Amino acid sequence: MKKNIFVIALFVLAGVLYSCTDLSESVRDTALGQEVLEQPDAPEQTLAPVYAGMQNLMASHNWLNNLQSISSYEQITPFRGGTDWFDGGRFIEMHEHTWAPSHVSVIDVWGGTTQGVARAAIAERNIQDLGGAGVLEAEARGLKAVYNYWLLDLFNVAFDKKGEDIGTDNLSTVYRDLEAVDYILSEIDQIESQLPTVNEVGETRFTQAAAIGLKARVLLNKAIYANRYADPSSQTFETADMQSVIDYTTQIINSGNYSLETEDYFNMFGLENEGHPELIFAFEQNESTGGYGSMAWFQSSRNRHRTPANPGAVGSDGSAMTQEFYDIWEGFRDDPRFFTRNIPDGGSVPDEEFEWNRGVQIGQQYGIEFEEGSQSQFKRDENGDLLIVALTDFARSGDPMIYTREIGITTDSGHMAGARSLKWDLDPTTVNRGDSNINMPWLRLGEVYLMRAEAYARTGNWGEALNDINELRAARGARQLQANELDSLDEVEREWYFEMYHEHWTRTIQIRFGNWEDTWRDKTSTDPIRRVFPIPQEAIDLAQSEPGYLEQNPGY
Amino acid sequence: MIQSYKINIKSLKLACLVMAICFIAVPIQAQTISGVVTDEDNGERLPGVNIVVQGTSIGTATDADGNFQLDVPSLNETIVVSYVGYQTKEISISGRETIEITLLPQSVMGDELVVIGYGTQRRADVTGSISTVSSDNFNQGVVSSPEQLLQGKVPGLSVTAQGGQPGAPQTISIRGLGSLRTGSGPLFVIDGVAIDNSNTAPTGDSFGMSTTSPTNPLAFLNPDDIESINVLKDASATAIYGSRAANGVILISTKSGEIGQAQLNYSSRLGISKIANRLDLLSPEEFADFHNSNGRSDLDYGNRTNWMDQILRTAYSHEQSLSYSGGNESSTYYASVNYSDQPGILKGSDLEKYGGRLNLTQGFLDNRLDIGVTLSANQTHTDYAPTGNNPGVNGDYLSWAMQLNPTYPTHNPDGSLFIVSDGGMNPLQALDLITNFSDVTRVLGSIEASFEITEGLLYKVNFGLDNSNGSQISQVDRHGIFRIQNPEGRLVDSKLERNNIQTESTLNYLFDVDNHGFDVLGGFSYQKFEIDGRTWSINNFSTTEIEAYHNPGIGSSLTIGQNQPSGFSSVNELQSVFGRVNYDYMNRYFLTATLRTDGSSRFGDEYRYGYFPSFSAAWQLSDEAFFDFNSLSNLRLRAGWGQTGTQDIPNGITQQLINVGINSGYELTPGTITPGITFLRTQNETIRWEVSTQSNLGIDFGFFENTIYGTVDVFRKVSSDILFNSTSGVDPITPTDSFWNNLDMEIINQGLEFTLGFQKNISNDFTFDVNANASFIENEVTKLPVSQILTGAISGQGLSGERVQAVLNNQPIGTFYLLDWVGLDENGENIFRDVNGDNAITNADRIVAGNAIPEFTYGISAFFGYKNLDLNLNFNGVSGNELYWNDQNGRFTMPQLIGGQNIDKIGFNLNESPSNSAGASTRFLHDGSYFRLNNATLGYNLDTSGYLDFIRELRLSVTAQNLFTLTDYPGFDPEVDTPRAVGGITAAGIDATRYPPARTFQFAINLSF
Repeated sequence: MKKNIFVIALFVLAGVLYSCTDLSESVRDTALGQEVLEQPDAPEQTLAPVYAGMQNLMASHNWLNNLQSISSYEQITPFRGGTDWFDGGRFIEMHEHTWAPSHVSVIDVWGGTTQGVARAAIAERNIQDLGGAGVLEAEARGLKAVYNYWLLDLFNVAFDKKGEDIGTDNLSTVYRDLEAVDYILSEIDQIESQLPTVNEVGETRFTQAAAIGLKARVLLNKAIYANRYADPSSQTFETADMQSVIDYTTQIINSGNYSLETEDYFNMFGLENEGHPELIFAFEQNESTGGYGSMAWFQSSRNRHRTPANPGAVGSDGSAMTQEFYDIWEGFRDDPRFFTRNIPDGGSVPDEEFEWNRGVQIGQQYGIEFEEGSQSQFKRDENGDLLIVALTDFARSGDPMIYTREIGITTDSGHMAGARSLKWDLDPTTVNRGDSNINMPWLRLGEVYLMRAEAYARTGNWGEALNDINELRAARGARQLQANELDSLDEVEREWYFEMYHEHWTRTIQIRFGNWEDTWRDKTSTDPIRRVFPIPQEAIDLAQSEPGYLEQNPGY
Repeated sequence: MIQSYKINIKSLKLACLVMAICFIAVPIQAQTISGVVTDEDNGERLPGVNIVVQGTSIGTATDADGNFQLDVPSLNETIVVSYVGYQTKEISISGRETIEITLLPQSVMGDELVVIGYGTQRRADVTGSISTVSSDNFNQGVVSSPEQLLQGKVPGLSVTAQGGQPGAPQTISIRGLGSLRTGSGPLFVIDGVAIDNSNTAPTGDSFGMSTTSPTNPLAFLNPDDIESINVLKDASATAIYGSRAANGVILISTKSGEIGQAQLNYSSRLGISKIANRLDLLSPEEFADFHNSNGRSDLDYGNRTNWMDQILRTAYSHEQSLSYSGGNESSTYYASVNYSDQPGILKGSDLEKYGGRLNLTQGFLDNRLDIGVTLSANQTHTDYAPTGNNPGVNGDYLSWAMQLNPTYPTHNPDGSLFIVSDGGMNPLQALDLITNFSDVTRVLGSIEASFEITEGLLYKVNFGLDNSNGSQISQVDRHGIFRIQNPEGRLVDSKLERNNIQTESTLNYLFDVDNHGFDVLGGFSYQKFEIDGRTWSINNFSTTEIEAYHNPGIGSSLTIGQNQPSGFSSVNELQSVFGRVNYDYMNRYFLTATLRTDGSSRFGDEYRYGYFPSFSAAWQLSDEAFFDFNSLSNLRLRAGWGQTGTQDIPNGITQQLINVGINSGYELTPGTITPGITFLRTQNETIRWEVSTQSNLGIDFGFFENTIYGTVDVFRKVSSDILFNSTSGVDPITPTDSFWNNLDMEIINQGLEFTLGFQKNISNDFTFDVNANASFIENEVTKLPVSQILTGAISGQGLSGERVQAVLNNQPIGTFYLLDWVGLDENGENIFRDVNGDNAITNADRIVAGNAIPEFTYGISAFFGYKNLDLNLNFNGVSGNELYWNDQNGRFTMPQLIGGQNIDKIGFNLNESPSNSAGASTRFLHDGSYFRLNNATLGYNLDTSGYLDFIRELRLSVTAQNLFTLTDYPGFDPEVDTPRAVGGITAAGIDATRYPPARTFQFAINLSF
């Protein structure tokens, strides 16, 4: 028996010794917090993702581009040839104004903007806790206002999330309508003076001028935000607000820190835009932080190569300009913003001179093409220069690459339908397909001039409005307008489009000028509920346990 | 040297001591009995029968001719005669020196032993729902993982291959889908070691082609080593495994040696595989004719190439397996080695395995102490063809073979591969440029000691180890092919190491009080899982002369964007206490109660431990005195209830997790990227187990001495507290978009399962055994707190972000949620049903269009034996399900043909507009029912007695796998489940560029000595 006990004891001991644990979880590959936040760079490192959150919003073809441009009469993306770009109907629903609270882009943009607010609030708190520079905290709060402004414009909601409430059960305060406007403006007012200037940090950080520009943008649209669903004729633009817009824009224009691009308008949308004097705030894209060139890729063609060095840098025959939007240039097609030629239609050019023609493209397209039986070597002349040839849509229809004016959802929906905007460049220096280092402007001096001109026009000061617009047109190399060519708001609106197309603002402009319920090809809806996007259904569902906390927008 | 000498002296002393004890223990007295053991039914002599003097360790085994001789202490003893497959018999010697013994084959229901959690039980004592498949009944042929052995054999068990490549992962579920999340399969326990069944090979890079799922982690097991597989289905059977048992438990037992003569087995198998079913693509001539008559003769490049033939081949596989086993009264051994090579029917794919196993048992201290050791070591090498489950816009090897213009040549006149100029890809280019292979070494071992403290009281302790090292090499050579990424060349080297240790102690007490039988078990278990993975890469190769994976130094570019090294590491611990009481009265009334308490490091302090009880009872009605139906030989009623859990969630979800990374970084100062600190997760200590509550009612019956036998089970399984990863909480301003919570929703699976068998020895020459099983399952999601969760991503041109399934309230998981396609209008354009009548066709018009989970699953196996010839047929099938053919949607439409791609004839319709849109709709949804002859084996046992007496068995057989399939499904195969989950939410029944399954003939020779 003794032996038995001994053997048992041995086993039990072995079993128990080997195995007792308190089961506390050990996480090995992800930081849990404290040490990361104790490093000297922690304040900067919590600020960085607040900026990084703008990446997809601004650069993705189906985030803001879908909500702001494809929904408007600027762009249309049909089911190309029955084979391309259906993507679950996200572009067609957007263009036809039939989107629902389950729309993928609505969900994506909502997620990106709400996460931006949250990241900003976390940064605000961490910077406070870590004793980081006040300027960093001000930037975080400034960016919180940027994200909230997107939320206000798109979803009619703003969330006041205080840094100190992060990690507690306290809910954000939800503001809507005029309260949201006031909240954003007061946030900016509280931090504006602590923000850095462009001379200190460059245009890729949120500066005082960017904050002032944001206030001007909010006030210019305030009549709309205050009274969302009212008949456009009853949405009144208060003189005081317009005067504030004039004051703020003048403050930026007169600061001497910025100047209009006079040489080539398209420099602001290519690699040359780094440090550009016209840019007030731009999102710094970088291929190693996931920068990509969707704006150019989405409009250009599968068989249009941007550079012989990276055969994968091509387009996708996705979105195009609506025929109505193409037509607004009728009589203004000599404007370099409409089209700027960089290569000839035919002949040959040396590698270093090859680039795209920019602006709006229509008709037969020219460019470089693979040699027969190769997918990496391009056709060259006897000197080794790149041959510029009339392009063909080899990848799909085999048709010549002739862009047509006509484009629609049900007909004229082939791969070559629609004029294309090559406003944005595709980065020719990257190795991988769509990677990009091209910065994305969020506010530039051109828009500031337009805001001031519109404010002058809305307060009846047509002379000043004409001056501002002509100053802008002169910088662009476009002809000067006569007084009778700028005596209605429609003509002011048109100038907005000439300058600001393909920069994610057309929906906002169209609503402001009261044209959102107009109809155009394949858009027949006239329901004002479409001025605001629905809050994604999941967010509404998850908020159900706090009745009244987050209500769906009317009509959805 | 001196040291080891000393040790030797010591061990010698120990050996002497042990021997001395043995001598004392064995009485020096010699009465000898002898005899022969035969089969009572057919008079055959039985070799290897175990004969032991009751209450002692004195014993022997019969020789090859069934003879035995045994020295017994006296002629008054009782001997116990036992043999696998036969009823054990106790025979009183009663003074005889020669004894003729006959053994009865084990009846179908009754004495056979069933492996249950932490032990075995007589079938007749089982109160839960357990299905056993022993090696005799396994599916035959080329089998790369153990799930395939079971397909169609067990009611309620669904096994679906994710593809046809050798070693393809299998989707396996028991009694329906009980979770929203993928990867919640059953728990696998191999020889008592609960294994972590996640991938052992890392996933590599696909260079813009399609990612292949890593080889099935269970592929390492040699099917020849498996003795039996027991499937525990209801909660009363599984609850002893507590927190990991919500989706059922599969117990795999490997072979062990048997007392008696040593056996040597050798088997050699040769398989020939070809594609089982081709798609009905336009032939090159038909393709050319269409375009020539359509005014697009420019699309006819003059050649006639069948691209599928270019990537397909007849594959020859072979398999060699050698084992030997044996034992004496105190020890047994089983050792095996195996090698197999299974090339796939698509060029470039191959599965090569080799491994060995050693299972030993040894008794000490008069067999009161038993030590058992199992050890297996296996190496699995997989070559992946450049195709997978998710070809995107670039397509892959298989998708281009289906689609590429068949008038292109394959090669240039100079012998080099032809490069198409239109942006498409010659599939042979992908094969040529991309190298993708994995190697996994897995060692699984356990040592178990059991000690009989007093009679009936047994203490067991085991230590188990499951260690795997996997690596994956992905390489693309420097190239100029547009569709393949990284023209500069790239090598990605990934490693995955897993280490799982387990220790368990149990105390088991077996005792009787009058007619009351008790079997009480208590135990403690601890398990620890560690997983580590690392990946690094290099780009830009200076040469194509050597392979970069042999010398990564030929790469010359490392950038943070392209080559950022990555890795992960996790550890997860489980600690459990469990108990079970089995009680029977008069062998007629049975009760079982179990309770397991599981603690997991994945949960926060407050909810770290979960409690999982179960109760069940059985009543052997046919043994009652009042039961008087002669034809009804067996009738048994069972009922059970229990709870089990799921802890299949990521590590670290209760904790605040912070990531510092370049991806969320920003260039705050020119030229320097400041990495970003982001919250991956916020702290949430309230997360707890997902619970599954299951009730089961069953009847076992047998008619005419069990000639007809069967089982019927009805069950209802309710999963609640569903773990769900939502994007936010009440407040949408959350620092992370991953917000884990237990949802107050339920997933209900209820169904009916039955098996029905007929077994008869018609004469001594002819036996007949047919067995059918079927299950009906209904699944429903209720109280879903969100309106819908979309999942089931499909892929292809124009289909990004398209989802074809949804989780909806009061609908089953796997519901297809689609626009209802009515037909084509006069212009050849789609007509969809405008469900909400708003004159627009939007996502609001989607309908519940079908379900991917079969309502009815069945299997039939039939065995015919005539003299030395036998035929085994296994059929299986499903009905009441739909499949979504992603390839038809994304590839085989008229616009694709007009655009110059080849299509399947299903899409050829001259009435259709050349630009008619191909969005997701019911147009591409098909009936998924099928009936298949899965497996047919014809075997012949050569009678070697008289001329090759040393051969115990010589068997020749031929097996045909996947011989025919009856189905209306137009794709390669209706047994398909391409993994298309979105956000980890289960999707099923989607067919996307699946590796086509093979039809295989395998010739085998088995030799036993």
